[in-house]
Amino acid sequence: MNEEYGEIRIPTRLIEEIEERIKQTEFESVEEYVTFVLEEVIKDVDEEEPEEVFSEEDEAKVKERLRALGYLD
Amino acid sequence: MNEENLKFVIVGHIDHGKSTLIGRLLYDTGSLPEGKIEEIKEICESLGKDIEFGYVMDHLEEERDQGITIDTAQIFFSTKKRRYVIIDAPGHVEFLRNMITGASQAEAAVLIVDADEGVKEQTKRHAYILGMLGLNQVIVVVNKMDLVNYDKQRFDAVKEELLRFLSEIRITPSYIIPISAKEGDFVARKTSSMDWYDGPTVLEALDTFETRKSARDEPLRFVVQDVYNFDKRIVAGRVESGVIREGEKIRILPSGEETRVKTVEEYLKDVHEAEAGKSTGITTEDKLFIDRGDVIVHSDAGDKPVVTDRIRANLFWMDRTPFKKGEGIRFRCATQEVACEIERINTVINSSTLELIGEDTGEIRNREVADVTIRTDAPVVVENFNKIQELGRFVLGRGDTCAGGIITELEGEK
Amino acid sequence: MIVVLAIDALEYDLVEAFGCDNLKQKFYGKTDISEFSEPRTMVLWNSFMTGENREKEVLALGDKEMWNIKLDIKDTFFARFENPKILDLPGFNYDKEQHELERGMLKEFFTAVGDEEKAEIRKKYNSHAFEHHRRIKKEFADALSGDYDFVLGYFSAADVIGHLNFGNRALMKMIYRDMDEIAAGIDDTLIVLSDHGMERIGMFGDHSDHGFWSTGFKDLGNPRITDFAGIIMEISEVE
Repeated sequence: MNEEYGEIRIPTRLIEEIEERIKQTEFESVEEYVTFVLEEVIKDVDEEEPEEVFSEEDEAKVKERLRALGYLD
Repeated sequence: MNEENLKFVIVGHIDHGKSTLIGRLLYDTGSLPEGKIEEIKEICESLGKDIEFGYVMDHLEEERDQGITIDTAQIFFSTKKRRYVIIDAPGHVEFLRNMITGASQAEAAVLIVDADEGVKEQTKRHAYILGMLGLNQVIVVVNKMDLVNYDKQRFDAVKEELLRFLSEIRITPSYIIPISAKEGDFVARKTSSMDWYDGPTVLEALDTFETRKSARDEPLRFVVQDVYNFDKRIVAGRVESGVIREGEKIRILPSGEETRVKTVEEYLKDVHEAEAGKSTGITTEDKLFIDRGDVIVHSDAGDKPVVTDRIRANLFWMDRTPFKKGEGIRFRCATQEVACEIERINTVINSSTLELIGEDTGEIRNREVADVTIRTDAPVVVENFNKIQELGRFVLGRGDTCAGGIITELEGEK
Repeated sequence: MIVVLAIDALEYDLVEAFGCDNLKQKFYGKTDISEFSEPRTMVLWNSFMTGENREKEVLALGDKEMWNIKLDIKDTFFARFENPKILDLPGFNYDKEQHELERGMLKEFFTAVGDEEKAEIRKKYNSHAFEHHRRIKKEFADALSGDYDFVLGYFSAADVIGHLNFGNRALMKMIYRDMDEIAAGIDDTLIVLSDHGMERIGMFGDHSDHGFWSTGFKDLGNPRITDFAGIIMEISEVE
């Protein structure tokens, strides 16, 4: 995979903790572990189910749209 | 209705109708949440039609895709006889590990095959897993009979292919049933679509299966943890199965020596027996040599565990460092612990794809499942996992546990 | 007989996701409505009927009046048929009262305070839309067995229900399945067409920027909604 990379810094104590943790797992490096965890977290946020309760923000947005489309005046 | 639940798993190729079968089982036994059925009925009526299974399935599938209903870890439904639990199907590493280490057990399985497509690679792999887990209550369903016009010849052809394969992996299915989960034929109801078939429906077949006996009803297996010498000589251990009582005649394994239970001791209590699951102490009439790891059974029981140094088992390797043949490792079963060697790695499969990795190989890697022959340095007292789980389950380890396993075959087994 | 299933707000992505094979027919795809400033129902169907971009003319009437448009048949391509039957098409002969009530309830919903009240209104709104849907289904079935050379059935349920319920995928699936069943029952030359699709805003639905088309006889590529007048006339000459 020809991915591009940027650099970030995290506290050394976290790196040490992760190094300890990955010993019990399939992850080959701290980088791999951190990338995986972050991908999962971002995915979760994206896939979060909208609540059944009428979200005010959604409502306002849709109201605006329906007005633009001529349904509401 | 019986109090016990029967846990079973549905396996087979992913497109062969597993979720439709589950939906049909729930629908026909009225096990779907009342509110849900009402909801779907309302929508059907709004659209000007009657509620039909197809719409229920659509609805369920949609909700499942969105992660809402049907927690696929455990699905419940009931017949008049008892309650059933469908456990998540193989292919997931967790499931397999739980099955092998005994954390969650199915007591029966339904293997599903598409009548039109026939036996596929995944069908075989899943059947293989059933064999490995020692599941011997198996129903095969030949599904989607509606797509082949309920043709008896087609059913017979698929049945033959299946039986041929299953016999190779030493599985004898209890039933082979032609069904259409979509149309509802022979899952819960007998219909007139296949009058050449006079066997049971899937539900009827399930009702004939047995749940695992509760450990209390099994033969006595008292596993010794320690021997203490206070004012009396107390043999401390755990009753893995059965019940141990004062006055009973017992035999110590592996030595084979016999004596009687003098007292059953529990700290600060006056007891005369101890049942499966209890840790307790006993004193014996005769002062025999008893050691940690010994297993105590009833003398006159016909059913005895096996004392052996050679075991055939299925194990789930859980350590990052692979096992290499020739490596010495420790075998632990109940309180017994001995050094052992894996004499032969018969087959290795990938636990998530269930693909065969190799036969007669030299190593087992993380998350692989292996059929092995183990040679212990000293005789151990064990059971076939299907008979008495508590002595049929073991772990292998270096310092930490590296693998969980279940015993599938024993030399000297009756 | 040439049949057009005009399904308001039928969304391409859902037709795919829900496996609606009868709606897909042999060839299907998205329509190009990029020439319009917004995917407005009245503008789009007007443009469909006349074969011309009618956005300017329709918008000039204002949001309130545009819903009352009633084109004369000779201004539409329907006039080229001997015995056409059009059901409930916006801008032509649609049930003004029905759809005004719908818009009224929409307004009610958005001005209501409190979840309970909103839920009540939504229930009423849905029920009203479904009732109309059942009526149109029957009328359409009757029309199919009539002696017409062109039948157009306009179905608004996906749009109406979608605006307040698009987030309820299970419900939308059942509506799409129903539409798929209707398509399955048509033996004649069929064109399925939507003015625009729908996309999700939480529980609600907004119009998307593409419509849906399908035929059993020709791959139309990425047609504009104004192309259909010509396409349909072409087939009618062949038949």
